[in-house]
Amino acid sequence: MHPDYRGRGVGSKLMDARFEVLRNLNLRGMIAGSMIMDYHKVAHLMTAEQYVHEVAAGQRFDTNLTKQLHKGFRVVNLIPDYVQDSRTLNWAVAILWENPDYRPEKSAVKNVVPVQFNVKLRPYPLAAGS
Amino acid sequence: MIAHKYQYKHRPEDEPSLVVVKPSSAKYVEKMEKLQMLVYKPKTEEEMDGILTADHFRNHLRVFPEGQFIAVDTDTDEVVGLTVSMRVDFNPAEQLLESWKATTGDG
Repeated sequence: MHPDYRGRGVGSKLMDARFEVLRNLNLRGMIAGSMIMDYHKVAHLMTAEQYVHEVAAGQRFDTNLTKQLHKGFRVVNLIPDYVQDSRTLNWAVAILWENPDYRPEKSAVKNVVPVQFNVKLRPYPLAAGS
Repeated sequence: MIAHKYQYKHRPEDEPSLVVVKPSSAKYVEKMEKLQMLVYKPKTEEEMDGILTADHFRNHLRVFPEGQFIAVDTDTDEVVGLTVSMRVDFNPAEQLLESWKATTGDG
């Protein structure tokens, strides 16, 4: 997300659009690599594993992971050396969202017209002159 | 003072802007690359390696068009958010994902 447009639920709507694709194509689930963006702030105090444990327990806020957990993802495993990044100390977490509408007996849809899924929202106005 | 980046032409100042989430398309790939640079601010060669470019986005549209979405400010037609997806076979009983480069084949 563009920094000026964060915190208004747009990212959440982008994720909803992806969930809709999984439902439409009858896909089992979605895996993502969640970069733990706030780990560097406490990396001198705890391991990445402890950090993720606390975020998953709701005791600590992470800019990325906390939001994804709220969208219904769960933590599966840690990934070292995911992407070079000083904020995450190169750590990420594999997260999984399981499609509640997935039907194994139904074969995956192969070719469909690109999903037209438009979400319109009115975010707060930008501060004038900022 | 930095000039305001966004031009609001037909709308009073106090009226909020409209952002639309929609499937991405070829006409937006350059704007998507611009957003990647702005968000990730790569400083080193290594960090630049993890940045998705217009060519990556074009390829995603070819392989899995249903999985690519953008958020667009309807006033400026600029891309303000994006998400890309790819289809993979996975076993939920096994360790998920390696490094980003290995998992995505360099994006």
